[in-house]
Amino acid sequence: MAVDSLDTPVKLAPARPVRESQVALMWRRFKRHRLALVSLWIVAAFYLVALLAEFLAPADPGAYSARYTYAPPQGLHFFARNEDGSWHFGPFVNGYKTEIDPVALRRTFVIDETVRHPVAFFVESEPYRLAGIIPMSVKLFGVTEPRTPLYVLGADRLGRDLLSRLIHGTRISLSIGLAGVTLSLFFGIVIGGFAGYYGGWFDSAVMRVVEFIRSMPTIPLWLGLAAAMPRDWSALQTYFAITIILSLIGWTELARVVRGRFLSLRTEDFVTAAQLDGASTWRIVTRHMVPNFTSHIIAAATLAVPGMILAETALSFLGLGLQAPIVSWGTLLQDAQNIRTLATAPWLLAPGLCVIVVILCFNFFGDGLRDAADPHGR
Amino acid sequence: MSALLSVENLSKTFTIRSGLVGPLRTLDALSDVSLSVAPGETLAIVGESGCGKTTLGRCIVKAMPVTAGKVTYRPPDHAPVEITALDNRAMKPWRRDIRMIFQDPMSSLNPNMRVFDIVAEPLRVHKVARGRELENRVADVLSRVGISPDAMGRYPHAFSGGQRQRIGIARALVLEPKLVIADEAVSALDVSIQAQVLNLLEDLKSEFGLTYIFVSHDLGVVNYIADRVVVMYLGHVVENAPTESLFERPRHPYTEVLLEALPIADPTRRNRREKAVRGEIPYLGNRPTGCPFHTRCRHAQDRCRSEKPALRKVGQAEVACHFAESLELKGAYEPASVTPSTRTLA
Repeated sequence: MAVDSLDTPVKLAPARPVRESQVALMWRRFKRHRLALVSLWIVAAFYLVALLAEFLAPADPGAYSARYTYAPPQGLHFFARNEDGSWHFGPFVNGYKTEIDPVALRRTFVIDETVRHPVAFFVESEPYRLAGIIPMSVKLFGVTEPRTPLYVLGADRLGRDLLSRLIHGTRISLSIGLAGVTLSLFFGIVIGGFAGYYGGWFDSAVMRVVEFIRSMPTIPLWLGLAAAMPRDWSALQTYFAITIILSLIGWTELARVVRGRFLSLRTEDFVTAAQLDGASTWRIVTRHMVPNFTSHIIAAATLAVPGMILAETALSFLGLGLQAPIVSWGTLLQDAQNIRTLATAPWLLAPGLCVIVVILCFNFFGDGLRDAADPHGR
Repeated sequence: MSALLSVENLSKTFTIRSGLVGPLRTLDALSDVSLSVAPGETLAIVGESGCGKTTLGRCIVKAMPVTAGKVTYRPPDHAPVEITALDNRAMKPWRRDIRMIFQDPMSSLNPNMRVFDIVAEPLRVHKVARGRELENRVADVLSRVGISPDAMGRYPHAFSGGQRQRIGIARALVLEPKLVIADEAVSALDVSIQAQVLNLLEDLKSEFGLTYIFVSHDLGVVNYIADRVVVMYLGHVVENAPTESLFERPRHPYTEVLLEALPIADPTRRNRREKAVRGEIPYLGNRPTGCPFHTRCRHAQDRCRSEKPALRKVGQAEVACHFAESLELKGAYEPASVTPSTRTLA
């Protein structure tokens, strides 16, 4: 049974330096998932919009103009054919003209294609603070002539620019998703972690509570909690209250994920090995166990974000979540609550489109992450 | 002979509850186990799956609390320590002396840690070394087990099963322990790699002056490495004898059965297996009265069903069987003359 290879160094694969960490491996697998990759970019773009809202939005979300009630979308044009057959280049928007409906005798706006208001990029504007911090006085685009209407996506009942409101709503809706998930993640990891690491009666108790919470119909529960919120709270207070209400339900799913990972890791030999090294519980949990499922946690958290966004939208739509003057996708959709408005101003459904796109992308992105997070070598 | 470690009347009972409010049931994984290891000795613990050999190993390293009995460690330069009575904090210094090698090289190494960190972890936990000294010690122990220190920055998945087991061994040895418990340390490896790792363990034993408790179900491996063998059945020690004498002249019917199950590299002798053990190993929660082995024993009599045999000295062995003296049991090294193959040749 003599073995001569004992004292010679063990041969190692020479190909490429295999110093790949879990993160690098995960990224490599994720990139193979095309749909997830595209979704990642779309989600990233939405968050960029949220971050740069003041710069991207051509107008103040609260600026109203009674003259342009329910003005239809102008669109943004880059070239057009002149009447004499020549071509006009350069960005512009069409003007509006008023028409009286002969039957209903109602004043309606129609696009006047003969009028062209030039649009310029990086135009001077009123000074503002980007994300409330960086002082700036340049907008991405705007009209150069003063007092010309700019309603790329149309206007609402008060003549406010829908595009600007949508951009500002993106900030609120997306950040409430993140904040809610962060909060649920905290509760989930702490509660689920304790349950999974120690097991026993505490684990059983926590899991029964989780099952109880999950068996409650969420919409009435949210309604109840939201209704209990004082009406005179400031916008910021409401915002945080809604976040907390959303995460009161949201933590259960994450707690389950964390607990499951702890339970399965607890019996792994490398955890026993760490215990036999004499490592403290804190060291075992933070150094040996948690790094093994951070990728799973990230994936689960990503999949939890769309739920939060949807919940916020639903609550605000019903008038129980955020309230005007806060602009979120949900409060924007409140304007689209009755059929008559929808028939005359269908562009008010644009926030709904944003919700659908973001939710879908988050789901694809989360799915891709989850697939990529499957640990190797086990 | 003063033992390095002795186990006295050790019992371990698991309590299980079926369902949420079901009745509590108990499983006696170990009952009244006593044994001792002399310094420099390799003691093997063998038995079928579920006989409690792994539980015994884990109780010795204090990976789980014991129900009754005690484990005493006698360090060469210190008064005896009763490990079972220590709490986790008081146990910590002794964890440097008593180390464990795990069975599964896949799950015993953290897939998220580099080999360097895996091997350095015990040194860090015990604050033995840091900085350059830490690196040197890790590199040193890795090269001793045959892993190139150049590979320290890699993750476990970049290594083969045999290499991972060597890394596990390096982790056990980096604290320069006195006693190493190897729980099925080679069972998950290919036969050729098993031989490599066994030789490595032998070499390291003389190099570091180690004492091994070698938990295994593989009698071939045990025969190769052990000085003394403890045979366990259903949580009991049924025989404890020097390796040579156990293989030559087993004293307990269960040992005979185990030896019969050894594969024979001679096709003409395969028919010898006809006497393989009857029945299945009983469920631990429903242990037979009297001798634990009587339900499957060919020699069982009424006395075996009612009276539990105690461990007693017979020849060189300690045996728990009422008829240890009178039974004619066959060992693994048979006289060549009785085998059919030699008869036909003659």
